[in-house]
Amino acid sequence: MMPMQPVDRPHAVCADLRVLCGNVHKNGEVASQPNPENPFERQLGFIGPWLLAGAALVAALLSLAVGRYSVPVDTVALILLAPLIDLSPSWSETESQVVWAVRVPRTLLAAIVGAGLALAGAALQGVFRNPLADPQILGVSSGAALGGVFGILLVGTGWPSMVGAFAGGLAALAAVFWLAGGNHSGVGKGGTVMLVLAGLVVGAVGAAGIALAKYAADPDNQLPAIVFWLLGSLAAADAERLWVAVPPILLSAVLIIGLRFHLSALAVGEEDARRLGVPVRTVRLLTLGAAGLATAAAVAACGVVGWVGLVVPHLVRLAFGADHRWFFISTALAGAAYLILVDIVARTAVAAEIPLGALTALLGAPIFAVLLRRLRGDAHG
Amino acid sequence: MRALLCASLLFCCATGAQAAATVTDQNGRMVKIPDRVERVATLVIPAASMSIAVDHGPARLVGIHPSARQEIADGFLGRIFPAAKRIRADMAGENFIPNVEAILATKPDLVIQWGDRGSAIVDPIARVGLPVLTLRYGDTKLAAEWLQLLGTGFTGRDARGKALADQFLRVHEEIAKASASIPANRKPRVVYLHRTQGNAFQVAGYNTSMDSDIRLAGGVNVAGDLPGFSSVGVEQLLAWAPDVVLLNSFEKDARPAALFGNSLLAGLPAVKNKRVYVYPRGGFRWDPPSQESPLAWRWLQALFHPDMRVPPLRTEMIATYLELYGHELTQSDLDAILRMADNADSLHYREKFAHKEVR
Repeated sequence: MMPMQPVDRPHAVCADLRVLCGNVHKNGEVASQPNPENPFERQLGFIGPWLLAGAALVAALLSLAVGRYSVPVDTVALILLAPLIDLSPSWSETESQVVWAVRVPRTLLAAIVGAGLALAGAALQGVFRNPLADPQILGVSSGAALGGVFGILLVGTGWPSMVGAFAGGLAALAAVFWLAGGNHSGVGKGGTVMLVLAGLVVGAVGAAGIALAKYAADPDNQLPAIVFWLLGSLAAADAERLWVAVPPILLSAVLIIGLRFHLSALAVGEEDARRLGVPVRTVRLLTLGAAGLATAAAVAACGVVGWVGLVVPHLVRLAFGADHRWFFISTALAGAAYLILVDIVARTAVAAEIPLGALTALLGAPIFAVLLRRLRGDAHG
Repeated sequence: MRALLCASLLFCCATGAQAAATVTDQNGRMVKIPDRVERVATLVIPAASMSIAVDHGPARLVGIHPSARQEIADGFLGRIFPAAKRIRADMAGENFIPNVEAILATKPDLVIQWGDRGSAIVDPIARVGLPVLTLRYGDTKLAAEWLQLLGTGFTGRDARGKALADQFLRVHEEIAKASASIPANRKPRVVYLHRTQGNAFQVAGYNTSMDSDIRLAGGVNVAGDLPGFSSVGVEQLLAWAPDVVLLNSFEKDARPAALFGNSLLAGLPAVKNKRVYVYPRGGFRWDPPSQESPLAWRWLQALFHPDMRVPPLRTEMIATYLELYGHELTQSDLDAILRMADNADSLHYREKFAHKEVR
């Protein structure tokens, strides 16, 4: 049995948790050897981030190379290299604009939003110990969307919808905490259920508010803007939107990845985590806050893009195991690659832009259905 | 059957009888028009200002769409007919869903509604016993029949509706004939931007009135293969390389200057050559179909084919407004409707449409 760890010895806690990662039996005993049912888990978990970083890079390069405006691939490469090495331009101003002002910001935004949403999903799944957790569970997506819609209604599209989404997302988070018992949110018997129910309530209020706001919107001017934004799109990606999305998502990524060992302990069980000296309430609050921030930033930048937080962590778990040392980094990289690839389809499949949110739902639901069947199979097998 | 009904309708009109008439509306529904129609409610946005034109004023219009009232209040008709700004506008929700009780409260003798968006927005009104005349959206030419149907709807305006419809079709035919002689390679490639905010563009594809207007006036709609109003990215716009960009009159900030200043679009031929124009806004917006569509066609024709000899638009507008609204436009009215200030930097605009001092 593990001795009690004082909270002020984080390094010792981490060392213990490192042992714990991914190798814990149901009763909380730590196995010293890798899980015999999945001997490759540790190895693959280590390889995962590298493979996924490669995948994200390939996806990003592909994203820069293709689009509705035809720019030869070698020209794209030259345009991208131009700031680094001295080249006499053999390309048109428009081609350069397409690469630097359209594809680069769009690819970066897809990557950061995909990473943020996937991480938020993974973090919530860890905190709630519920594989179905997702930013939408907390009502943060709905709250942020409602805030953004108010921004469009009261001021207009662009920065007002972003400011509104931030405010709405954080307000939704605050409301969830208050409803679920303030500082005791999610703690103790039934705490998780209370949090999920609070998220459900806040999400319902958000959805109802959006429906009412749409009714009040000017059908010629505001309504189409609201509908387009709610469906989610990266078409409006530019430097301004990157500034909205990158700092908050980076901050929450640092938080979540920094807390990965604590989260893995929490995933095993609250009592075990407490015995290991994990400050459960603080970790939980920090993680929820980080997930909420990342979701609000993603909604602010490109509207509601669902299912990423649900599908990506599960795919990563399936492919590389749930080794928490690498799991969150892998999930972030996989989320980036996933959304970049989905956005390539959204903007190149046909002349019209396909709404990103529609595509992620269309892809996400079947992938998740397959995962569910496999989970069931594992449970019975 | 339809021919028979039309014939019976013509007979009634010809004899000047006040007996109830049955008409077939644009969606094949047979509608019994009451003997005397004194109160009309319309959920169709352009039918509000069209009713004012057909009925020489808003006196019999008791309910309109909120967007139509906004348009009247912000636009030109509110100035000529201040009473129109006070017409009830609480009968239609999102997607033209009728609030039947609000419609009943206006005690209408006749209701105008869209008929090509499913029966769910028509049946609830018909179920409470109100006659519903339905219109169809699509090719702008359909609006000729709107004029005629509204003339039939407003008791005593049958001849007026028919005259306005005939005039509408006469201009349509004239423009179509002029465009027919233009070789394909002389037709400019045109795109209509229904939405421009934040570089998330929406264009008008087939089955939109803008598509039909672009083709009628001798242009090629580069988005003609897309359905309805579709969202496209910047790259698709650049790939289409349109010669002319038409900006909608709906968005407050949609102005040529905004496109000229957008570095992303600097490569578009239309931007390079300053052939970007924002639609005028008179008794109604000129981008959707209305009683003013013939003026919109002439405006488009002059912009698409600047070397074609066409009648001076200002003179046409003065005559048309006198006919439609009984109002004589001043030169500053014309400047405002044609949005001379917003279009000041666009190619040919001042030379084509600015007021020329008569010596």
